Amino acid sequence: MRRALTAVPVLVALLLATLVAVVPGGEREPRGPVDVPVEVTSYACPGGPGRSVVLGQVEPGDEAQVVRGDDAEPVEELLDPRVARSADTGRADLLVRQSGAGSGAVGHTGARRGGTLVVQRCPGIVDEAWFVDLASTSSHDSVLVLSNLSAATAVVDLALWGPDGEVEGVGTSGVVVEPGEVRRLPMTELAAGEETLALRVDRERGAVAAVVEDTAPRGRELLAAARVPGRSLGIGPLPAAGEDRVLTLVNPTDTSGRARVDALGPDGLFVPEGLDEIELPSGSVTSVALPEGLGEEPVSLAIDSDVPVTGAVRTAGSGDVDVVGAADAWSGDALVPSTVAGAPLSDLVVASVDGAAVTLQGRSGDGEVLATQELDVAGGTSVEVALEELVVDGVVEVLVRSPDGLLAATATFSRDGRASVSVLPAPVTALGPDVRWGRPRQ
Amino acid sequence: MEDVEEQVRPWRSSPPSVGAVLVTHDGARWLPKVLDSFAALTYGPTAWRVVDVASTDEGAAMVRAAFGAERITYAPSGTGFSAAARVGVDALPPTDWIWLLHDDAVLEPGSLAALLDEATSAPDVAVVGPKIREWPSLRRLVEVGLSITSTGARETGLEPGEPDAGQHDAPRDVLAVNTAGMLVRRDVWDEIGGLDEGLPLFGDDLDLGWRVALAGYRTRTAPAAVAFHAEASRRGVRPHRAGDPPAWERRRAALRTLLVNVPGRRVPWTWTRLLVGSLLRFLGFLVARDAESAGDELLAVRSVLLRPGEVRRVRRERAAVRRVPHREIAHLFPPFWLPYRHGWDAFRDLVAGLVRPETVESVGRRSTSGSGDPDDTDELVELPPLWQRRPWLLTVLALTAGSVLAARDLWTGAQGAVLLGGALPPAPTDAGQWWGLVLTGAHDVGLGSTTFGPTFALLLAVVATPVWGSPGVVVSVLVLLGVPLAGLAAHRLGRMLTPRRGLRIVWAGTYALSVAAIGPVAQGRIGTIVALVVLPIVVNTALQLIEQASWQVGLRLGIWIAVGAAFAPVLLAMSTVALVGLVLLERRLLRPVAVALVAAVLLLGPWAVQRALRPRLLWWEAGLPVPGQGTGVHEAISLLLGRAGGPGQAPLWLGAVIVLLAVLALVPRPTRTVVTVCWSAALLGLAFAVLGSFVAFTVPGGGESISAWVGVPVGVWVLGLLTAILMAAPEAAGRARPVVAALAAAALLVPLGTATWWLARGVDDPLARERPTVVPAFLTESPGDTLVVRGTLADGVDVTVVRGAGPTLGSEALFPAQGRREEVVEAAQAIVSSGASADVRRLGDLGIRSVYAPDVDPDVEQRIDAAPLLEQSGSDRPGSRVWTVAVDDPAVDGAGAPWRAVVGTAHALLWAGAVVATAPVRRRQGDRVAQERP
Repeated sequence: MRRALTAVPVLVALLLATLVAVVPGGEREPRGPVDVPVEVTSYACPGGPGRSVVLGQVEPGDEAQVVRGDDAEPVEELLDPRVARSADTGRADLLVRQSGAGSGAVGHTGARRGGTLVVQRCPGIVDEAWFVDLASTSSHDSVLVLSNLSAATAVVDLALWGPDGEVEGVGTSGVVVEPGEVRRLPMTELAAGEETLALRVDRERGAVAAVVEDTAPRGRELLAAARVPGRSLGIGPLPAAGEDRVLTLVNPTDTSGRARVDALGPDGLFVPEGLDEIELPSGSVTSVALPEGLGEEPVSLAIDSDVPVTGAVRTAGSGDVDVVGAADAWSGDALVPSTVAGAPLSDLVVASVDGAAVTLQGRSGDGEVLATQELDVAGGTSVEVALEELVVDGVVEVLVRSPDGLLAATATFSRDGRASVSVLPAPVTALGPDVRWGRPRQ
Repeated sequence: MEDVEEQVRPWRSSPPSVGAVLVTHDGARWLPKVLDSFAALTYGPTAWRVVDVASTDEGAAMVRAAFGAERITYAPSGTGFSAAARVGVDALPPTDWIWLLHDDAVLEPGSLAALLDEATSAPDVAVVGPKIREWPSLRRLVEVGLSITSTGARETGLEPGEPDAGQHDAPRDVLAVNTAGMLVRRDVWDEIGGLDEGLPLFGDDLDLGWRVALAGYRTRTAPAAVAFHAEASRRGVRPHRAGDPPAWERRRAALRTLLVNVPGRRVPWTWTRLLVGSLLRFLGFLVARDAESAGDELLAVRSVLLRPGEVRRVRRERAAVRRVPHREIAHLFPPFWLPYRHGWDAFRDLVAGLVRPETVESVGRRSTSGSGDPDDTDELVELPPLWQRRPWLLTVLALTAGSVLAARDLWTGAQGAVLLGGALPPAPTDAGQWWGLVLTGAHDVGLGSTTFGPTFALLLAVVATPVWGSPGVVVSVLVLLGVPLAGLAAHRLGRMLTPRRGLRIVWAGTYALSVAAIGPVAQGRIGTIVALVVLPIVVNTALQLIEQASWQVGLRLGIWIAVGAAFAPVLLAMSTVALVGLVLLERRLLRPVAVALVAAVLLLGPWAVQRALRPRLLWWEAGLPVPGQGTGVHEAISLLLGRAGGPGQAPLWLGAVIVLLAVLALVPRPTRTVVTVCWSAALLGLAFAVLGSFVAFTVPGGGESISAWVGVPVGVWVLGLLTAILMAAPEAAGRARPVVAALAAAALLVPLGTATWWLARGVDDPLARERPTVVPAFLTESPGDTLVVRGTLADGVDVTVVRGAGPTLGSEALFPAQGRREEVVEAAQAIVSSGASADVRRLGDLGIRSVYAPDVDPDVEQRIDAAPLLEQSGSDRPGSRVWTVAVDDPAVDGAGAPWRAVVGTAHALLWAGAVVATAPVRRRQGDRVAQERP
């Protein structure tokens, strides 16, 4: 017995060690990006002939600063952050900064001129922006508009691709945009004579917004940045239209690939004829005409590729063009003005791959909800919203709310032409790193 | 041979007359040999006179029998040597020379002849003294001439205990010689007035020599003349009688001798210096709890420095016989730095005392105790080799040399390089910053702080004050020489545990090396290193407490626990558990243990309260909170084998040998009880190590979750196991020879293997000596704080705020006012998510003027770029970015409440008081102070 007691200390030691071996300890918790309420939203609305802007927000903001890019003078009629407001601003570029936690400030700019309609959402600060289906010819010219939204000098790098591969541009590296400056870079100055171009804008320093003014033979358009290249891509929804539609994809990688296009129509998923296998040469832009029958119903394109690609669909009507770029599916709140530059919202199409419940609200200028519509978007379908029930008297904006399922949406405005805008969530929250207090290191 | 010598002495042809004066006072103990030596003189004095100062022993009868009653003069009790000598000289017939003799000094037969040889060598020689050796050892030199330092210390120019090997046998001019055997020209004696009766006991010889020199005469040593002096009064072997000069006479004599003899223009400076020096000595005696000596110091000051009239009178009297300016006798005084060298010698003696217990035989020291019996004469013996006489000293030297070698890359570096890395922040630029952490209410650190500074900063400040401008030296010594320091501490504990010297040395050496093996040295964990150095002292003091359950020992234990816990607070928790367990077993220890724990908590001060409010912070040691190893199978094995994880720990198999031997130590029945106690202590350490493995803490203000580092509990575990082995080791002697050999080999394998690993790997990485690079150099000089941003969007971003070059050791433990760190985190979160000017202004309001991203990923960098009011600035290296916060509003740190400085000062005084209270009280022996001469 006494001999057995001798072993007690050893057994206790082994028991203690076993505890360390089997019981999990206070290890550090994993960290990942977190949603952070956006306190301040900055965006730039490029000016132009006949241009007017519509500014709004999901929730009333605290303060808005709206200044002209040329003289930094405030635009008095656009300074109330609590209401949706609009103004004719003409050629003046506007720089907007609106504060308020989770306010979700959004701006749209548009113009009707010469039988064409231009409408686009005012771009915010981008890290990496892709523009597809540009050109630098005398008949079709694209102009990159860079707006510096901060008080520090901004620097961007540009890269260009064409159908025959990467295009060596002139002065594409280290493009400087001074604080408050709105700088226009015609593609003809960067790489003249290219009929089809894709452009990547990389922000190296500062805060800069990017948009492209596109002038084609059949109309003008403001192009918003498409999403960064990926192997699964969504474009649309594309509103019903009978004109020519061209899908342009850029494969910026060093590897050739293939892409398959699925279409999400009102009745579900189908593969358009001839789009089941699109060759994507490495480092080049590929354009494919969409089948004519595809334009008869609202439809979205889901593209699966074995290389990262991004793209856009250009719809050329009799008197106007309409470009819809690739966009990420989203959840949250989005705002669509009921009228831009006198052109009413004519079509609103929502699509979802996996299905989503959508709430639509017709709101007055001060945010009062005047009409509501609940919509269940079945998986793999594109659904057109009945706007006549939503845009009733007094409604100046439509709130599209998709709290759970991922959604894609396109708003089309029609009057003296047609312009489609990808509906994207208002910046209510932003994905930020998990920030915490660290320890000094040597 | 004698005849040959006689022939070369020129004075033989006309021998000078010499009158000898012997002063006696209760010298019966030495007089037989002294009188015999007089009888054996080859050349004797012309006349003798004995002055007996109220002897109450047989001494008076002895001299009466030797010299006859007619040659004896009796002086009353209390007569000093100076006065007695004057009485004797006055009673002598006129002679050419006077020879002063002591009753405790034996002379060699040729002494007087040798003195006369030197005395007659030149006409200006007025005083000659013999070479004085120690009696009874007979071989160590006591004096061969004298001088006095600027602080009043008696300077012999000899090393302590220096043996006489003829190295000082060349006659030379000196300031003074001892009155024991002093030969003085009678006319000079009369001219300068003999010995100063104002110096009845001490300093009269120095004073006489000084006056002789100023009168234009010389004092010479005559090393051919040898006297053996018992120094009966200095050693306290002559009984103290009523009427003898008081104890403070020695210091009074030193002050008076200086003040009445220095040049007139230097009197004010000398007076001031002596006053300041005396006050410092007074404080020093108080700290050493030698209240009697402290009182003596004040009495001496009052007696001399506060009586300028007396000094002026004496100086006036002496001015008449001064013929030589002081500059001509300056060579007779020691250099100005000599007092400081004596201080160094005292420090060296202290260190030597720590390693001397293993000395077989003490030589080279003047004995200060013993019987004093003149018959007790030592003989020179053949000494064993040093490794046999001082094996522990050699072990310490080996550990020190090993530490130097293991830290080969860490002693020097580029200009501005400091020791840092791992958990070790750089040391501050001067010790004042450590004092500032303790004594000021507001601290100049990132975001400002008004919290209490860490207690370890107070201890470091005290230690670093002598090297004010180089506190890094203290850090380097603690970190890089932690191994030998731990060995020294362990060895003192070993003396309580076992009388077996060899086992003790191996045990202490193994523990010392375990400090490196556990891993804290390479990881720069200064808290663990200091705690493991202090740990054996804590155990040692606890064992003393068991033997002597007094409050003084309890207080001492509390102090040592506080020292260790100041650097590693977990030591307080472990000590508390151990002491509570001790009290449960021994109720009589309740009161001293309570004293120990209360003292420890009080000494740890308000900083400990701050930590106690967040108990998990007990695991945060001095230095940066670098994570420990946490839990898991490998971690469990690591703990069991005495490793705390991280870089720079010794191979596990070396720890396995310790555990194996400790298990075997449980086998022998005779030592099983004590071995079980050792195992219990070890298990306490292991239990805390296991507990710590489950603990994760965050520093105040939130942030990274840091797994506790368990180096100190692992050290307790290892010390317990080693002690178990030590206690059972003697039982191995009875086993079969192969078994003993195997056990011995295993026991030696651990220190030798660890030492080999230690020397081969070194103790660098992550510890390094380099320039601090927390922020670029140009930001260290810029105003305001710097927000340092690290990390990625995916894995999270860490932010911290630094001021200047970043935190230094001690300031890393400070934290800003409640909410300021959270505010920084919120603003930074907003900036890297969707920056707004308001967020940047928040940084500006907090005093942040720069943002530095040393290795931030491009995503985060772009987001910071987009923030308004952040202007891009240069950076120090590719891949890093700096932004300037374009906010003009000056940030204001919170001002510390004045009472915080008061608390800090009180805290420092509490430490001083506690240390003084535990120092042993020094009491003067009743017979210690007596006449130096009868």
